[in-house]
Amino acid sequence: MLTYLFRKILSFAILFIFLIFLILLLQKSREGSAAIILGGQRSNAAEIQQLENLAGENLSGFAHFKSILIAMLHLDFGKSISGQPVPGAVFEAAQKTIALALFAGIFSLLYGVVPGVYGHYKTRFRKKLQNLNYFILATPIFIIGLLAMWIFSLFLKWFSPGGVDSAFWFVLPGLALGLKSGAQLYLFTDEFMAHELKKQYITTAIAYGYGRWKIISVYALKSMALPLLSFWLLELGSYLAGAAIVEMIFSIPGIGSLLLKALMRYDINLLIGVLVFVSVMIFIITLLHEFIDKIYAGYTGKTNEN
Amino acid sequence: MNLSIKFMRVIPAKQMKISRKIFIIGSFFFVMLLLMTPGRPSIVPAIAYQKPYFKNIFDFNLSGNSPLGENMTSLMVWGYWQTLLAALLGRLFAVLLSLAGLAIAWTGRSAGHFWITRISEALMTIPSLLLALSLGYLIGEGFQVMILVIAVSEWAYNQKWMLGRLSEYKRYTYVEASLSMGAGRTHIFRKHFWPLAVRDLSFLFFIYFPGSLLTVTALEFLGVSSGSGVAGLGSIIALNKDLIFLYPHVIIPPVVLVVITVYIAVVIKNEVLRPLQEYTGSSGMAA
Repeated sequence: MLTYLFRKILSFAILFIFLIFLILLLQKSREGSAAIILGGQRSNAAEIQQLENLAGENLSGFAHFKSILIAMLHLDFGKSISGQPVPGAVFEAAQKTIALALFAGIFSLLYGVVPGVYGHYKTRFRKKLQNLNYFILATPIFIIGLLAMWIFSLFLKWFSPGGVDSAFWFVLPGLALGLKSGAQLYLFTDEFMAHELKKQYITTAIAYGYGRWKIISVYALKSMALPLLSFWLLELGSYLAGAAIVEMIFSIPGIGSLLLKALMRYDINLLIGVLVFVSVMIFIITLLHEFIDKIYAGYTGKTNEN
Repeated sequence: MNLSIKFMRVIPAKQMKISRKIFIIGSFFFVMLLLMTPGRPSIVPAIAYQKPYFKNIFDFNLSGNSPLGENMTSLMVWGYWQTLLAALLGRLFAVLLSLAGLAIAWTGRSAGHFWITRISEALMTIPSLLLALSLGYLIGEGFQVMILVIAVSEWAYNQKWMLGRLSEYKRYTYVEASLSMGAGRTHIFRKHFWPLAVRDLSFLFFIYFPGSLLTVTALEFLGVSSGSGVAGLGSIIALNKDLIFLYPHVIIPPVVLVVITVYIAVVIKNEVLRPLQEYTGSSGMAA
């Protein structure tokens, strides 16, 4: 376990150094300056100099790299180019993204599992549901978001088209974000159920005269719980990527919007802060996923032995 | 054994019918697009400017003009080919990069394997879209940038798969025999791993292709430009997303084109490639 954790942390440390190196390399090799963008045409030389100091543009590539690494070792993520401390900006945005991701996660779980199980109970719906979900998978997330906005917000006027002012701001973006992974979960549930229902213990249960619904909802669903949870956790990671698109469409000040803001302003400290936050989240999700996989392996091993 | 015979045997008759249907519809779709491909999109004279649904009778086009007076058919078809080409080339480079990574992991012995594994694992902790977005904005615009961004952001997943396959290749008896008889690592890679890797990578190319196409359209939507003067489908959607009720003809066709193409790719992946992959034993996904 310790070796495993050490290996994971080493991977993370490599990512961290590699990421900072890559971002700085690209920033130094490109034209344009964050200070000039932020300062605008009316700013004087002293103001530009001050902004350059804040963005670290006056340092050479290696010196900047070294200064960032040393600061990070002291858990100092610096300030964004607008003067706000990076951790504060990231955590403020993360609250919105996490709320959105949780809603999307719950929705995708309901959307994926309920029809996935029902498709095996009423088999005539199965093919139709499969085709519908292939279709959802083929639709880019920004198109789902736009369609949701056009239909529920602009046409039906049920929800606000964007922002976080209304009480249910997360519903429409959450649906847009969760629908695709819901389709993935549906296909996973469907495939797992099809595989599970062919097993010997199910045949025995049928021979004992148990009803189809009981067999599916009690026996098959129970054995699916851990793999489903593991798959769902992996999908949670993908919400952080989807959030960038959905947050842009619905004007939500979350992590995705913050990343775009940092990229447009060449705000290196903020960019590093956002990417580190995202990779820490993915790292935790991966650890949880692997932990559940280990439990599942132990569980199935014990079952097989018995 | 001939690949087509293998293919016929592994795909059940019912599934084969669906695949044939998809193939015919898909081919028809692409031939129609090729036939329809008009000249490069250009802005028509100012007289047409800002006239919704304006259609110059001397400049016939199927789907009207954009609010800026551009020929929508031309805009869409050129945008479509650009998006498709970026996804195909990006995918190709991602696959080639993972082949190079495989060579390093094998010939570089434990150190090569260690570093390739660590770097690919590290890159996998950032979602590929966010990585692509960051690289796209930082490097700047250009068609080659788009290809590079797709290749780098998707490399890690391909490499992880190929590393899983490498551990399987190493266990093949003829590889162990070659090693014990003193064959060099480069020789083994060239003579034994290369044919296996090419087969696996061709699967990998097609299996992740829908994802690449979605990434390209998403990047275009988020403002990563190919810089070629022709807007990709994602850019057309992003530019006109607020005009849905005013100019639906500008936004609906690109949306439909994206969805149809990815749908065809997803169905081919799930109905044809997966059974074929299971049959031929390319089980790298499990790794």
